[in-house]
Amino acid sequence: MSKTVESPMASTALRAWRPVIASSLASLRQLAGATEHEFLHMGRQMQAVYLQAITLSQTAHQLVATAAGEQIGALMERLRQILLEMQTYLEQAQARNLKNCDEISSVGHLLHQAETPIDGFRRMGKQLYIFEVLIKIESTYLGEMEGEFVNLAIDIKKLSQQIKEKTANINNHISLLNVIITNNISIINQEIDGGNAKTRGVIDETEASLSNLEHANNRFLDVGNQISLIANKNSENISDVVQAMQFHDIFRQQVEHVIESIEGLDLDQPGQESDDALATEARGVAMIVKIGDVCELQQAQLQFASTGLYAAVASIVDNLRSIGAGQKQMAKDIYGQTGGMDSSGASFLGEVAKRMALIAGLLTSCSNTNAVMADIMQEVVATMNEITGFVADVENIGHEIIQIALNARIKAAGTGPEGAAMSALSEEVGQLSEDAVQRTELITRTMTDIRGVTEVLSTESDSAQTTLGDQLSNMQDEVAQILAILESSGAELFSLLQQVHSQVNALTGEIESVTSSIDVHKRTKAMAEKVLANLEKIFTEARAICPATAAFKEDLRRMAEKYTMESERRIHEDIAKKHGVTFAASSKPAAAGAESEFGDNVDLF
Amino acid sequence: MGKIVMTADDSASVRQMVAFTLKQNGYDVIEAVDGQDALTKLAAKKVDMLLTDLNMPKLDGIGLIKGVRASALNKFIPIVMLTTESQDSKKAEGKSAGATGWIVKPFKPEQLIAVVKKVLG
Repeated sequence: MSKTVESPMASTALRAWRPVIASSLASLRQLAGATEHEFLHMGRQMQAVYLQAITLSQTAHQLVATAAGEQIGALMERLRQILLEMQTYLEQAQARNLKNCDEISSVGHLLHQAETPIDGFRRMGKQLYIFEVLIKIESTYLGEMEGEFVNLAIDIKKLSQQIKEKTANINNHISLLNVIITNNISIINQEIDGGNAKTRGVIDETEASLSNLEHANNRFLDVGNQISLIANKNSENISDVVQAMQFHDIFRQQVEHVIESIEGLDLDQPGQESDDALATEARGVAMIVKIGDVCELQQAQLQFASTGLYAAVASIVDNLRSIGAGQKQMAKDIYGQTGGMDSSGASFLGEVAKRMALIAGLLTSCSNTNAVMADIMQEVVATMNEITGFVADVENIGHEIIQIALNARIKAAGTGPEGAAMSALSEEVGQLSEDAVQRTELITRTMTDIRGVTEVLSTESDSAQTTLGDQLSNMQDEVAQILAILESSGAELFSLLQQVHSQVNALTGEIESVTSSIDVHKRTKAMAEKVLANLEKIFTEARAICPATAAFKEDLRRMAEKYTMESERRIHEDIAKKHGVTFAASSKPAAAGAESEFGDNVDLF
Repeated sequence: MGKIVMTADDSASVRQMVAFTLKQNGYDVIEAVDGQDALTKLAAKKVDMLLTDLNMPKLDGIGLIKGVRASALNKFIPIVMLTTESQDSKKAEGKSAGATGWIVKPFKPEQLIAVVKKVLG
């Protein structure tokens, strides 16, 4: 039967350390194997977050492409063009209406010129009446010729009556024409004055809205760049997360190395049986030294591993939160640019659409004024035609009276000296009718002048109405198309904005849920801290019994100078420095190789 | 269809990150939990590249490289070690066994993709 032989000092210490080391090993084994499941879960959550972030960035890009894309760009260009066309159209239409008003006013002046000859007709009627009476009186002196001259008087009376009627008709029509001209000119002038101010105002506002649209377009381009930057930042965040996620494997291996080293102490193996007290004491001292060395080194390794894992998981949480913050900022930027858009299109697009609709209304109003002008022209021309007809009738009556007067003179000559007075009367009547015919020529010339104006106006108005009507119709069609596109783009933007909104909410909610549930680093740190405290207590006690040996220090120096992993090298160097080992200032990791094009952790053979 | 890359690692979370990184970049990924599992799968499937850990149960990375280089189906594929080990002696051992390259964990996704692109030409 073998018996465990230990020095009393070593025996006391080992008895105290054995259960502490055993419990530390149990904790370390738990640490090494307990985190895999949680890291896998985090990995799946990270992938879900990343995919959501990509989807959100894609939606945001789509939104920006819609708001600042080619279609809206082309639309803006077309809007600018159509705005110029509208401006030109409205200016031309108003100038034309103004000109028409002036021309119609000139018709009024021309009508005044016809007043004197028309008044001559009225006087002629009176004179003919006097002649009729005189002829009747004179006819009583002509014996059997009396009947012939009474008939002449009756004819003159009839024709005089007709002249009176025609003159009244002409006067009535001229009055009507004056009323038409006066009333409509007043209305059209009001419309022109009002239209000018309104047109200027609406065009200015539309230009301002269009400028806003162009600014919004530019701002969306900036947002697009911002989204690209955020997407790049997301990629960097995910890259950091992928890197940090590997610390689980690194931590596990580091903890396994710590376990392996502590297990290597072989504390449960019995000591060799010996009666030599000195040898027993020496073995005890050696064991304490070894325990001190291993625990000090492994405490540092575990500290490093635990700190590394904590930092890695904290970095995962920070990076996921950074993704959420970035996406939230991106959504905020987009909301800022859309100006609180809603489904009714009350947005930067809706504003332009509203202005374009006002312009379309102005165009319609202008078109109505044109139509009114054309109607007036038609009415003026028709009235003029009637007046001309009456004037022609008066002229015919005049010719007829001239003929009758000539016949009367011939007949009066056949009656001898008694018919001299009748002959003179007939000559007067003939002269009066010739004057009337001359007056009709004057009136006809005036009417011709007026017709010249009105026909030109009517023809121009008709032709302009047709041309401008076509132009107007084209512009109205195009405005309708643009409004439809703006409406459809607005609806698309609104839908995308809603998607961005719901995706941001989903993503930030997911990130909050994921990050708030991550506590593996805190739990592993708490577990590691207990083990670290145990190891520190043991090596402190061990060093108090037996300080670190020169061999240990030399081992540390050698390990610190030998490049394995930079982290391990630093750990060895730090412990060595604690034990008073100094390093040459130029000391470099012995095997640190040149950095490859892929980084210092990559070698391609 | 993308090129096929096998990742052999006993750490499920590392395989997860490798697969995520490669799939995001258009590669198809086959996972193996250790060297033995990798050899079994490689005997039945032609792949374009192998990424393997060094320390794995059943069969380690060096043993896996030797097995692959001795196989018929995937004899000439590029093999890159993906490990926490960085000692020159280990690298030399890997190179001697037939490794194409060596990446020390933790890797950055862009590093891994750059290496994969490079070795796959």
